[in-house]
Amino acid sequence: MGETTAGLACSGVNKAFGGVPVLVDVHLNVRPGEIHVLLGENGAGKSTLVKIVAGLVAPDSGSIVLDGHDLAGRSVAAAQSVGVALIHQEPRLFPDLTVLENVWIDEPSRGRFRRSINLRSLGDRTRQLLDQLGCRVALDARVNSLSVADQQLVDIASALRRELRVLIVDEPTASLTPSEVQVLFGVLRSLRDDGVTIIFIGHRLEEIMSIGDRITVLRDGCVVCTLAVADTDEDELIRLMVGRDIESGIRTGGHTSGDVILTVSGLSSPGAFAGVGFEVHRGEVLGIGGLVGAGRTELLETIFGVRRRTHGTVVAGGHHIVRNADAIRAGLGLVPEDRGVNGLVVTRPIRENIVAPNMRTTSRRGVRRRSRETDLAARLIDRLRIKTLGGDQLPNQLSGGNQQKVSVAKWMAKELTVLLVDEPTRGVDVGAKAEIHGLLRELVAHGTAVIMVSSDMRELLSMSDRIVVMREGALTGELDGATADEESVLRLAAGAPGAAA
Amino acid sequence: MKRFLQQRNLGIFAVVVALFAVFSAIEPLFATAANVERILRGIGILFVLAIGQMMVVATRNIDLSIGSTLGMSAMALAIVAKDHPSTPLVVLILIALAVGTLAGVLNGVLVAIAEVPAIIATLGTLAVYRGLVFTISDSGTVEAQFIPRAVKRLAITPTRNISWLVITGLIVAVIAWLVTQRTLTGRRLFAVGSNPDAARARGLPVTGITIGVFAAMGALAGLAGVLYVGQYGTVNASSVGIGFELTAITAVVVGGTNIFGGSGSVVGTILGCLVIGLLDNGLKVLRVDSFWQQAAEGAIILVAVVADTLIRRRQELRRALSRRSGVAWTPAS
Repeated sequence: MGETTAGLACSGVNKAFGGVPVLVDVHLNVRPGEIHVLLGENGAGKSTLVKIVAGLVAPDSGSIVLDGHDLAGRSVAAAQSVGVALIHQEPRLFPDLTVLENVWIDEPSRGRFRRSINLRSLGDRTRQLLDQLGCRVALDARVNSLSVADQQLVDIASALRRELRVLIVDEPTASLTPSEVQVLFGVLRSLRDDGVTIIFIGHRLEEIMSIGDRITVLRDGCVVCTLAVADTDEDELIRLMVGRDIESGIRTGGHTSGDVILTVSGLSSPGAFAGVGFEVHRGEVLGIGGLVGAGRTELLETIFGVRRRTHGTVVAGGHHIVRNADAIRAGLGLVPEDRGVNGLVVTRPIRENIVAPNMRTTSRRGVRRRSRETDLAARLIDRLRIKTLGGDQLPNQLSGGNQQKVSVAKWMAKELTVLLVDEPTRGVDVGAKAEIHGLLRELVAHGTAVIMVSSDMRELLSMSDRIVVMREGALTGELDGATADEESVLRLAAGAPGAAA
Repeated sequence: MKRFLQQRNLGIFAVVVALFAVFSAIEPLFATAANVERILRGIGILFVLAIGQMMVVATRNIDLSIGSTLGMSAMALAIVAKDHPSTPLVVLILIALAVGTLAGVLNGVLVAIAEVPAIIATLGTLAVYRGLVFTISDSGTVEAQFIPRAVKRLAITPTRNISWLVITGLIVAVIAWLVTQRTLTGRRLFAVGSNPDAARARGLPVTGITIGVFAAMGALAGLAGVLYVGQYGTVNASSVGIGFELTAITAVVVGGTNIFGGSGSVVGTILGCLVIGLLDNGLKVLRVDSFWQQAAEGAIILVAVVADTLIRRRQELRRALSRRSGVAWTPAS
């Protein structure tokens, strides 16, 4: 690692995808040995910028200079050879291979006959790298048996085996627990102290304030400004990112007067949860709190009729819901946690994604009507302010927040009685988050009930009229949304009943 | 991973032992040294093809053209031997290997550069290569009398009672084991199949690896062509290598290789070949109708895949349960 004199300089970087500018004349100077945060809404161009630095994407123009080498438009291997490494949110690893193999798999062959490397000789070196990161996994463990946190450390270990100059981490904390985040931050700080330049992309402002030295804010592909962390605060950062004021944290609280429209009783699904029962009223938000793995996602899936149940009933509007078709007929909708896999068909256009659950109204006698589909899609794209080139664009070309809006939009054309939402704003930027919250409130105001699973405490507390909490597959209690606080939810989620959290 | 594969191989090994025990109990002639040698000789060609196919499948591809590739190599060898009887054995073998490798490289280019899905690309070349076999042979047959004795000796002359078919198979297996288990290049085959996006993101030469594995498969199919000529003597355009690709895929799948890439082992593949060889020979020794033999082969592939799926699902469930202690909160500030 050692001393570095010059940092990383990006100048005049431009990039457009399919005619849409993603980066416009970006200038960025990262000093050697600092943790430099890139901040911006989803779609602001952060990920594209770091992909250009890492050699994954070629810029249309501009230069990326590290120690006199211009990296623009070269390859991943070229960037690696001068010490640039990119760690993604989802570690780029090989689940079927061992830890040892994952660390070394891209080591170039060397020697007279470009002889392939004998893996067994690398054990000690690998152990050393992992110890440096405080990672205690076995070298011959298969990577798909590790936690996401350990997978990230394996990914970093792989980058560390070369002389590392610039480490880019793209939203590394999204799926980590708080203690795992602290471990990761410790690793990043010690790397910085060894002289490694770190570029950090993140959404959680508290984290950014704690880890960053300087922050560059991007908006719509342009650099807004670069600030020292010490000279700014969260409110200023949000204003810079969004460029407009956001309503945040308005507590709705306590509207539970409507009629019961969904009753869940004694519901059980093997390996996930057992004996869960509650009622949902017209026009309320029922929050479901709990730790990851408490069975909340599985509960929503079972209510929606897409997961096998062993006991219990779900009744909506007098009808029993067993299969998914029953749920949809009764006016239920589900916005799942993983929009890329379960929420959207990413290989089909936005229009078809929106139309999918609404075919009954857009078709005539079983024949699809293109004009009605186009109208419906256009109306919802407009209403939800989805940033897109049009209904024919593919969802995976959109930013996370806009994808999530498409995932919500498909249910908005119907008379919904209950909308189930699972982590509705995970990995979504501040602006889109506020818009999605606004949409949910709008639905509730029109009499729809919302059941919301959320691990974001602020979201859970501010959006919910009532909160039920799950722990290890069972309901542990119910709280009034107006009086619940973080401590009372955590006590039900993590602690023994009545014990201090 | 090692333990996992060993566990899995143990299951197939148990099947091999069970088949052997059952057939021996019913028919004493089955367990004689001569018959065991016959079984091994019978799967020599399959062996070479299946090991190549295992490597192709590990990269999340498949090669359906190998029966035709084998046919082209065998036919090219036989025609040269017939027209130029003085050609040395080494040259004949090199011709077969070259034909096979070329066919494999074309497959690889179609898949890696033209980005045709492997199942479609090789379905196409399966027909193209078969057509070429007919073209170069005038739809004919090269009779055994034109094949040099040196080639035929590959199968006929036992070296200490073990034919060259078996020895070649073993040499291929050892090399393949060393490459796939002990070298980074070999592990990259599995990396590409395990997560192609990650392979690209980490700068692995995915195109080169893909072409390389198809080329290796082609070379092995060429080698299998040499063995074919040695074993059968006669090369007939309309029968040489027909259906071999399916038997090879069966052996690979029965041997515990995930058809969706990322996993696979030489040892498992060898055991998969043995299962097929034992069934084939055992049912013959028991004089079971040949139609039932085919059905049996089909049935074991289904059993293998279902068993594999069940094991995988159990493991995933166990893994999911052990992960459930995680705590993930975003604290409100």
